[in-house]
Amino acid sequence: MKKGISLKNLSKKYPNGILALNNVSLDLHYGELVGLIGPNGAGKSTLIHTIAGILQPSSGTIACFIDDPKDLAWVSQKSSIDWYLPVIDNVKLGARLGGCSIQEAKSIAKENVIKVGLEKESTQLPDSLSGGQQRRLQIARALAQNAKILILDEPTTGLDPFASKQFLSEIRNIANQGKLVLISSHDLHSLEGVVDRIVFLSEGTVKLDQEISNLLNSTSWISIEYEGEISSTVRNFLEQYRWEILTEKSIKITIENPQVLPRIFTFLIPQIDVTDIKLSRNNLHELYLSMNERK
Amino acid sequence: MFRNFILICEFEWLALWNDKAGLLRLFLDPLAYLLFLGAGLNALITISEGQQTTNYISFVYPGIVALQILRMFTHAIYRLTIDRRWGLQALKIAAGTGYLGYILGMTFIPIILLAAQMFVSYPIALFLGLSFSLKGFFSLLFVGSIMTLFWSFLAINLTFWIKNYSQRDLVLTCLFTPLFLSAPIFYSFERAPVYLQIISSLNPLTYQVEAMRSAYFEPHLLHMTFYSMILITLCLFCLSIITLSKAEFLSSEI
Repeated sequence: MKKGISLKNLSKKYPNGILALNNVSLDLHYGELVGLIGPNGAGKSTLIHTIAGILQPSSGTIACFIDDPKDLAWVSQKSSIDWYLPVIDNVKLGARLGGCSIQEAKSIAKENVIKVGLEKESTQLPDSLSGGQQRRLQIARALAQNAKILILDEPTTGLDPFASKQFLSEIRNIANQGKLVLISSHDLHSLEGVVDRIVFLSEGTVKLDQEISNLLNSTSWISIEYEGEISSTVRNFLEQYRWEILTEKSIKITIENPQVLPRIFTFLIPQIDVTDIKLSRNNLHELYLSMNERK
Repeated sequence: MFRNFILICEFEWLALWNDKAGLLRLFLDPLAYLLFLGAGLNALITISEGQQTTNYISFVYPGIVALQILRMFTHAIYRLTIDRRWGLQALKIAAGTGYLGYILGMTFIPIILLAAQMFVSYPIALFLGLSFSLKGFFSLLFVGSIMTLFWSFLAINLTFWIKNYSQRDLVLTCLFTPLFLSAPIFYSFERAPVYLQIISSLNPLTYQVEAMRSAYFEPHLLHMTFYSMILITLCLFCLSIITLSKAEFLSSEI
């Protein structure tokens, strides 16, 4: 796939001394829908603003493989809206920034206002909209720009589940058309179904960067309930895996490679009095929690 | 660049058009000054300089135009603060409008407004006693346009330091009234008390009002003040480009 964005050793230190990005290197490709996840303050917005060109990195390089700056559209986490312009004109701004003529921009704006379900509010000023509707307005503006690279900072915040699902399906279609979409979100359940790849950012560094299919298929966990005690031999054996005590009589082992399962069972079953075993495929939520615990 | 300039102008115009009350105020304001303060004092005051006497309306009209330009300075600060505060400046510049297109686009609509205001207020001023001069009118419009650019560029540089609405309101309160009252719009600088002359001489609007009066009554003469104003405006323009290119548009979110 053709490279869309290439980041090399990107760091960003704010004047107040906070190191928001620390040596981030990433290659993102056209046709990919990349989910950017991580705890609050991980550096997601800084990364997005730096890629969008509105923050200057302290060191490192950013290469966006586009012909024109208008080929990169960006949705801020904040309500980036002109409060003096009605909904339709705010969306029209996106189309005009995307290079449309005044006439074309009118029809594209109308089309996108309908797409995000704001046709009834199209002549209203944005301050009369709800938070979710203001979010949809920004999404419509970004879609109207028809950019080759779309960077979205928590676009689903404030959207109702139906609107969120509809929006994610729309951006999946956009990525399927060969465009690059980078989306940061805390809505892990929704992301899981649409993204191609997950980048986990924590304390300004990339802790994980993997295709979602590999990530979810390769990682699972088993919970084992037992009677009696766990011997030091068992503890020593478990140390080679990520494991934790769930309750007084149950443990959880994270499995990153399914091939190790027979070895675990062969060793554990004679050593402890197993009463129940549950094998679960990981989901993004579990993964997120485990990544957070690991950091 | 031209396309970007048109784009910024288009949306500035739309924003203004949607603020009907603000637009109405911009047109009613100079008329109110002329019809009430100007006409009222015109009956009381005649300005004499050497052998020449001028009616008060002729004296005050260029000053009222200058005052409207100062009002547009506050309008520019409002618009620029919104653009910065809500990330629209970042959005427009990131999408490739460029600093030049952005700056010129943001300053062009106030010049159009100034022209529109003058076309409305000039016939009223003529009716109240201003002497007609076509050359003077266009000369006044030209100097007024340079002055509008001066204040718009200053607004761009000032909004760089404004982080929120309360700071914006503080700046406007601290600037507008002292600038307006200490400039010789309604009084003559030469006849003002010494303390007022000292304060007034620190106010750029003072020199601009003088330049506007000269532009109307002596359009064939371009004073040193005018050339200085152009030079300072050019400096502010360059500073605006540097300020925007160095600005970090969003710095509070991690």
